[in-house]
Amino acid sequence: MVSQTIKKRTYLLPAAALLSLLFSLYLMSHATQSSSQFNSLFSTLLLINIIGSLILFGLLVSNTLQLWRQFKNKTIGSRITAKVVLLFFAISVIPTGIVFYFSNQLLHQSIDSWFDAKIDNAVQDSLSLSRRSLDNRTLSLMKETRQLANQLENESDMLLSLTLASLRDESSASELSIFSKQGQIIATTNLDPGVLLPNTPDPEMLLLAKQNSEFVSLEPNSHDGLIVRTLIEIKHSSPKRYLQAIYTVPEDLSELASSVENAYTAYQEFNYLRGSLKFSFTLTLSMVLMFSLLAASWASFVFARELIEPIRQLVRGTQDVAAGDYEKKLTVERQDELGFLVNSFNDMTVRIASARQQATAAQREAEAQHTYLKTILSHLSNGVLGFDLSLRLKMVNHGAGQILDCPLSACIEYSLPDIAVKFPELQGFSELLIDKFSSAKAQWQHEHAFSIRQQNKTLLLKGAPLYAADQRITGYVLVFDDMTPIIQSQRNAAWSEVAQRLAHEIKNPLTPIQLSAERLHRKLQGKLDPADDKLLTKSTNTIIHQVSAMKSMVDDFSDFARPPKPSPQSLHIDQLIDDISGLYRGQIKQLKLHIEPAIPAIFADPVRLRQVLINLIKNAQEAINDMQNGQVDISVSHLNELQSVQICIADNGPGVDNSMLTQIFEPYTTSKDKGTGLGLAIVKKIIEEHGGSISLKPIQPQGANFIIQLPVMTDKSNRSTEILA
Amino acid sequence: MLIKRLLFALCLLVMAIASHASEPVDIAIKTANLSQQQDSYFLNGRIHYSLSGEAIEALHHGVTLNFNVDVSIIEPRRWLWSKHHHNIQLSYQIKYHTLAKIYQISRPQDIGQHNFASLDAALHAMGNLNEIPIHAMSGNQLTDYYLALDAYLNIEALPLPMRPLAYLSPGWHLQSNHYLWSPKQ
Repeated sequence: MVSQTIKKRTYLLPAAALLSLLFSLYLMSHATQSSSQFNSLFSTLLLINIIGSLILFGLLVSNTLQLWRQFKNKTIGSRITAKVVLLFFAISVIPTGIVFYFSNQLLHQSIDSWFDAKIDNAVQDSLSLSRRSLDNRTLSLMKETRQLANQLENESDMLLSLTLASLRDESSASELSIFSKQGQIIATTNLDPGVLLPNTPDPEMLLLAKQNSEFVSLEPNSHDGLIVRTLIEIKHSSPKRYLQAIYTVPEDLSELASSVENAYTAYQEFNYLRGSLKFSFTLTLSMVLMFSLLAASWASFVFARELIEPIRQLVRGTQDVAAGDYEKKLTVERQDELGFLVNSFNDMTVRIASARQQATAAQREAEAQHTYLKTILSHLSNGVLGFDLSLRLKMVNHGAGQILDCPLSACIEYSLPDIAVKFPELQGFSELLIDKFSSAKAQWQHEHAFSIRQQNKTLLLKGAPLYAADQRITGYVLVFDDMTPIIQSQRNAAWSEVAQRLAHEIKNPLTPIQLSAERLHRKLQGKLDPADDKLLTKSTNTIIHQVSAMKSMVDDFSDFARPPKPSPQSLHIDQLIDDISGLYRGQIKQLKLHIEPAIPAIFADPVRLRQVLINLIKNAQEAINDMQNGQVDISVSHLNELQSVQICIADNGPGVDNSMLTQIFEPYTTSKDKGTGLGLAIVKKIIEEHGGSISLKPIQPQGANFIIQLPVMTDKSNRSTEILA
Repeated sequence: MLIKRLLFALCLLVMAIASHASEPVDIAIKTANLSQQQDSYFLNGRIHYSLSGEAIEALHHGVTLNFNVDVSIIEPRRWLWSKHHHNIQLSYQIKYHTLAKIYQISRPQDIGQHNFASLDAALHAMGNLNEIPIHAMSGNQLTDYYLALDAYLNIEALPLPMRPLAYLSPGWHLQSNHYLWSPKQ
């Protein structure tokens, strides 16, 4: 039994990959929060998700192309797969698309709502306020530095260091430094004695101080506080010197200003990042949307494949069953409805296989019966014809063709009128059958005499309707037998009886009559006058001759009735014919003898066969007796197919009248003036006793041809002929 | 057919990347050398930084920019790829102080910070590499090894929402040429 297993695919690996991708997506969405620990992994996660989505997309494209090829090739299950995939895609794309659109809109609106013109102005104003507040302080500190610088006018570099320390103590500056024009430190003093290096200005600050004679700036220090840096040119100094004073902004003010500055900076940064924020959120959402669509589409392929595979197998199975493979069996481990369907299919194939086996067995039995019946019918000497309800010939056996002497097997499916058209001799036969089958509902029997090929035949016909299992008539059957040989044998028997009686009744008084006539002639001869004596002689001779003729005729009758016991033996008929023809070679002017070489021997009584041949040659001689160009042809041939020897004795005499052809071999039938009519009857009887046949065929334009067929000698023929003998 | 289209798209992508790679650099390493003081080696160099419009705009909107300078000690090999013995990364931050209207340069590894009145001054100061100690270098490596210097804007240090666009925008791809020299010269 052919078993086909439906393979179950494992989707663990793809499912694990999908879950990993989903987890990566989750991490990416989590990373968008600035406080997340995955913040630094955002780009990596984004790259992983893009690559994963591309792989998923490639997988989807590959599956779609494969499906498209299957669809074009009209592969089983491709249409329903396409429908399932499209349905899944439509089901997934609509809700996810809606969710994506509204989420994106909501996100954008939410981000935009964070920013407001009033807040913007307020933050800006607060920064301006802080700046103005610090500017006032800066200006006062600048003024203070100017005064300090005035005190350092005309001081040499040596004295500057000493003066600087006292000035710092008098001022509020935390650090005082003097720089040269090139930025070199000339002197410095700091409130913190541990600070050795001063807070140097950058070259641009120094440049501005050089250009404007003074410079002031607010700067953050390294402790999240604020300082004010002032740079003033010391007048009347040579070379040029610059005083830098560093003032520390009070802590409370510094904190407030830093707070405002930090808030402003954060707000500005946030405002600047608004577009990027929207983009990154939209990107994350798009990744989620793409992942959902791709995963749903891929899942639709997986689902469709799982769903279709058993159906595909079932379709293939049914196709195989339709093609005649009833041993098809599918194996499936599913427990759902499809599994039930496959099991039902397997049950069906088992039942079909069983039914097929039974049908095959029944068919074989029917064929055997048909062959048996056909064999019987073909070997039946009776003729059997089968007709359907419209009297069309459905069946004919060999015996029917032989009896009717027509190739009826070529007339299958012919109606009876069509058979009559094809074989006009069977017109009466056909009309009789039409009449009988049309009128008679039950069995019927009829004796029908007709003539075919110059032969009178008498048939005994038996017809009956054919019934089906439901007692419905499905056709007709005709069984017939040729009664002609039986009638002939009955007629022969009657003739034998007549001949025997005739011979017995006539032959007994003939001898006394002949003896009496001879005695009367002997006693009275010479005792009467010459005239009476002459009359006596003539009368007694007449009596004696007629009695002799009657004796001869009675002997013929006696031979016909009670032939002598045959003594068959192996006989070379060609030699016998050659001998007999030699007797007639002087009497018949044109006697032609044609004997085929290697004629096999027959098993026959040579005396009886000599009688036959002489009778026939003599008949031929008598037929051409009055003709100038009379001719007798004798031929002997071997019929290999029939395993018989054929002897033809033909003459070109006047022939036999057509009306006599059918009864020429019957007793007391003759065309001659002096014949008894028993010659050919005896000839036929002898031939039939030897298992042969004789027939007469007219020759065109004139003449008769007697054809004898005798079986070739075999062991079986020996035995049968011995038994016959 | 589909494979041909994919190959064509790939070619276009490669060409786009190649054209992008051939853009003029925004950071240029002008000089770099190694000086030896007793057993220690110090890196000195000059890097010219030039910010793109997008970077300056972001800086003025409160975004802190991070620049990295990678110093690599490379051993060239004849049959194999070069071996990187040590990688030293120097990080610089530049940010704009809105209240004081000054630019601050700081190094995360150092406590101090420097204030500058202008961006050019800040970038100029950031580009000066003065006596950076290279502790991983020893005397016997001078003959065979090479030093490589790369300076670039660290996109990963930008605020998260900016990163995807920064990767896609050429204005954010601030990177120097690969500067390679032999210390023995």
